[in-house]
Amino acid sequence: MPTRLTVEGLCKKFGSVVVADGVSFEVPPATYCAVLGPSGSGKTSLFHMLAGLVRPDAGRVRLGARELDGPGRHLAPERRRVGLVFQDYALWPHLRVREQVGFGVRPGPARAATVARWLELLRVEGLADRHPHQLSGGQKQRVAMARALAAEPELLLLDAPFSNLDAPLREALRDEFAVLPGTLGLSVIHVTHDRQEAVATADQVLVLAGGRLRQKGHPQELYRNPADPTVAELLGPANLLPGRAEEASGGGAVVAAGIRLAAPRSDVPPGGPAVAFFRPEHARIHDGPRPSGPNVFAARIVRSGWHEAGWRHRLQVGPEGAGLRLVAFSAAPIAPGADVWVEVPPADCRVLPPEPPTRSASSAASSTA
Amino acid sequence: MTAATASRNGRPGNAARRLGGGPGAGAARAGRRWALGQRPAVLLGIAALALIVLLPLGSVVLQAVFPGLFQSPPSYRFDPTALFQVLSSAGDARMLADSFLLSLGAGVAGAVVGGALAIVLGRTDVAGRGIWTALIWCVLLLPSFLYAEGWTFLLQRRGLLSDVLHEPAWMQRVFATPVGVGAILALKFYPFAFLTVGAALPWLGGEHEAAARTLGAGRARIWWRISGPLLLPFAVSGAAMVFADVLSDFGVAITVAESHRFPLLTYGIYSAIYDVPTNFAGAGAFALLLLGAVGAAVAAQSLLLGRLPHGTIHTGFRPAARVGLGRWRAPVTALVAAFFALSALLPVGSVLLESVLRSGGFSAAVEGWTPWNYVDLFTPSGAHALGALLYSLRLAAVAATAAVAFGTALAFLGTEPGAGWLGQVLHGVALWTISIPGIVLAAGYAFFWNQPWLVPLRLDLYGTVGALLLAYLAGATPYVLRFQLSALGQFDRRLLGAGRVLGAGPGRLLLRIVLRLLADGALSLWLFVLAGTAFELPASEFLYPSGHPPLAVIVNHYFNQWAYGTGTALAVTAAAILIALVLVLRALLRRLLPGVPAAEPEAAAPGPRGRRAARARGAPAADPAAPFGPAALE
Repeated sequence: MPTRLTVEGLCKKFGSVVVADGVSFEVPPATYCAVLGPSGSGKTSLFHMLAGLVRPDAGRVRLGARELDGPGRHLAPERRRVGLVFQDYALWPHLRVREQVGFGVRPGPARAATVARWLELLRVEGLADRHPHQLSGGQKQRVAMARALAAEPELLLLDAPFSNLDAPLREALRDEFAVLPGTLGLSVIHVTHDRQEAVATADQVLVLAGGRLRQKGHPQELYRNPADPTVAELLGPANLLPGRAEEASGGGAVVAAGIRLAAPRSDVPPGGPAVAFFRPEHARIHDGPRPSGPNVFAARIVRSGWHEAGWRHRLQVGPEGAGLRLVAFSAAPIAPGADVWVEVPPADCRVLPPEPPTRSASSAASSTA
Repeated sequence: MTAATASRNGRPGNAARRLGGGPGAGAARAGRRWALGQRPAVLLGIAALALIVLLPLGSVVLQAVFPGLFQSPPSYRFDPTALFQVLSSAGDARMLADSFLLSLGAGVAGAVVGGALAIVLGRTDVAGRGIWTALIWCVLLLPSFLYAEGWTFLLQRRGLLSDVLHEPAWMQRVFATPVGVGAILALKFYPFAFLTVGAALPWLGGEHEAAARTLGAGRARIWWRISGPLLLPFAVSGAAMVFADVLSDFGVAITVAESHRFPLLTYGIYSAIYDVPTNFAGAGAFALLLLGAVGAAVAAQSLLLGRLPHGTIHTGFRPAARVGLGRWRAPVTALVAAFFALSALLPVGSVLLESVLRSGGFSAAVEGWTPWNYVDLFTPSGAHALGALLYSLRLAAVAATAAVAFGTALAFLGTEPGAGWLGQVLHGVALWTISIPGIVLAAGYAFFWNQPWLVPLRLDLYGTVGALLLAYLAGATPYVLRFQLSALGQFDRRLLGAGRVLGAGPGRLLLRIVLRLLADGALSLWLFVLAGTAFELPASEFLYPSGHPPLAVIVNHYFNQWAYGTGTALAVTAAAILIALVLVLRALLRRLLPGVPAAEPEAAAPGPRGRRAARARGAPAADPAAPFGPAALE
């Protein structure tokens, strides 16, 4: 039965290292949710807390009507019905595929049939008698998935399951597993370093950094309207210009390296530090006369190269060594050293706050007690 | 300017260019020259090992079926009479059966005890882990004859326990049986099983168990279905090692077993050598049987570990967390403490007590204590005993240095890619020579280096310190070789490649890079060999130069003369010197080579001590959920 996952104020630290700092989110039933974050952001620690392998210092975790973690309560992993597929698969080296998949299935007359069904669903029925060392990476991945699913969990956690596979296989398996919520009515949370993976498959993306949940939402929303520079960079290539916020009619603006970029909205008070943000594909390069309109500035092509989306250029804005470097695309090649005009439509520009300060372990603990 | 001159100038690339080669041609030629020079060196090393081990060994073993081989003129007639005599004689057949059954029983018991201890100490939060581990090493390093002497003093008629508990005859009766002797041997050699299972435990990986828990399995089911089966090959391997060591033990055979009227196989070799006339064919027959059994056990162990159906040992697995015992912590700790009181503290304490008793005394009463057993060592009357101690330490230091140097150099050459198939031969030789029992090697030395045809060559070393040193070297080098082959097998070759492209040859690489990085392990090896050689008994008994008995011979002589106080005092003094040497040298090494990473079991182990140590260094303290802690952050 589809269930909702609710996480409230989850906190955990190991010594002075904060891996979760008041993390709160919900995963609706039958949803594919991706967790994205840089190395050390606490993604795997979050998973281990959800699976019950690590006890949080504070916070609540509920799966449907059942409370898994709360004040004075910590349900053991074997009683949570939360499946976990490990990054290294964690297949037991001495058990055959059939035994691996059958491990979590209730003993009984229907067991063999259940195992056969899952082997067939994951397309590993021909490997039932093999040991893990006789399987390829993709096969191990399928077996690990079949093992987790055969136990009929209420929630499935995937810990970077495709990271050890080559690109074509990764894409193929990604597409296969993306339909699991729909076909099985199961919520899936998938940790990944790969933003393509997160954006391509997820209904909802959670961005973690420094143990904090920076933003959550639909991948398109996060891509277009990131909450801060970290989120912006995690969701795709980003041009980030640190400067100072200014007032502007109908929105806000940032002045950086001698240029002024207007945006439709700003939550940063004027005069304070801010970061202007736009995606490279939104910048238009003009190698002729200066175009009229707002958000136009001079730049010089530093380096160019062919890219899938056209010609990718690195541009220098301002003096060498003191200005800014940006990335933009064009359909036609432009020689390095050329002076050009760059135009960014205000609708595609955003004013972001600078990175939130890092909180100490003691203050983090006190704010979530 | 030649390429050689240019190379000496440190510019092999320039030399190659001047000679018309490409930028990498000089390095490639240097590499080929090194590879070609490596194989003869490895071959020479294997030949040297063969000389000091296989020749003496073969000379005694072959006499079991070629008794006329070393006669003048030699006879090559195949004659297994000696072998058949051993197998058909009732007394000898009983000795064989006793030895094998006792070893089998001790092997199983040792594996059960060692495996259980490894799991309790390695996977639970039982208190005092550091102390228990230290006691295991004490038992491992204690010479078996001394360990047996401790038990004898405790359990014999009118022994220590009979004095305290007033003649519990049942204790003495059990002690005097093969079961009692087997129990002592199991308690002496279970550490091998402990080390084997303990080494495998970390590699089970926390994720194996975590995966099972997420599938609904409780701890009992996890051990039954996952951890237990994965550990079983290592437990069986540990049993094979205990079996091999019990079967080839000489110390207990010459003390306890012989006095209890059921001689063991190793004692059979000893008595054949000391028979009048010397019965080398008989010794060879016993040696052949012993070698066959021990070799089979070691081969089975290697096969078992090598043919595991799974690549058990992986990178990328996180170690499993320790299990909290909760309310069972105190009872389990008490049980472990009781075990170590029985297996270590009792015999060691018995030896210590014996060393302060007047000669012939068995009473534990303080009135019977005397410091003179120790004091006499440092007076003229004890000069020969102290002299034997110092003599043994000198010989042991020479043997340890030679063994570590030779074994490390050979291992280094053998693990280089240029060694080719010879590297495989070296691995096989190292594995096989380790299984040779010390008593067999000693008998071989007693025979081989006494041959008349060696006299004109001035190589009749029997009765000289040269033969004794060679025997020590022959006994220690296979261990060093095996250990260093394993250590170098995990060595990152790119470190050596970086040195080679800068013009370093094998000698420079060995001295400047390899030894520097392996210094800590090499020192531990040196100390291990030193301690083992100082107390070595079989070769010492057979080969000591007249008038210069080593430590173990003197101690055994005192025991045979009922001067137990003097003998144990000498042994305890030697042990104290060795322990002090270990501590001082390790501290010196850390001071002289600060870059050498020190073994820090405290920091690595979770628990209060590890956390305090980690916090003192400003590092995040380990958490009981350490496998899912900071190390889990990507």
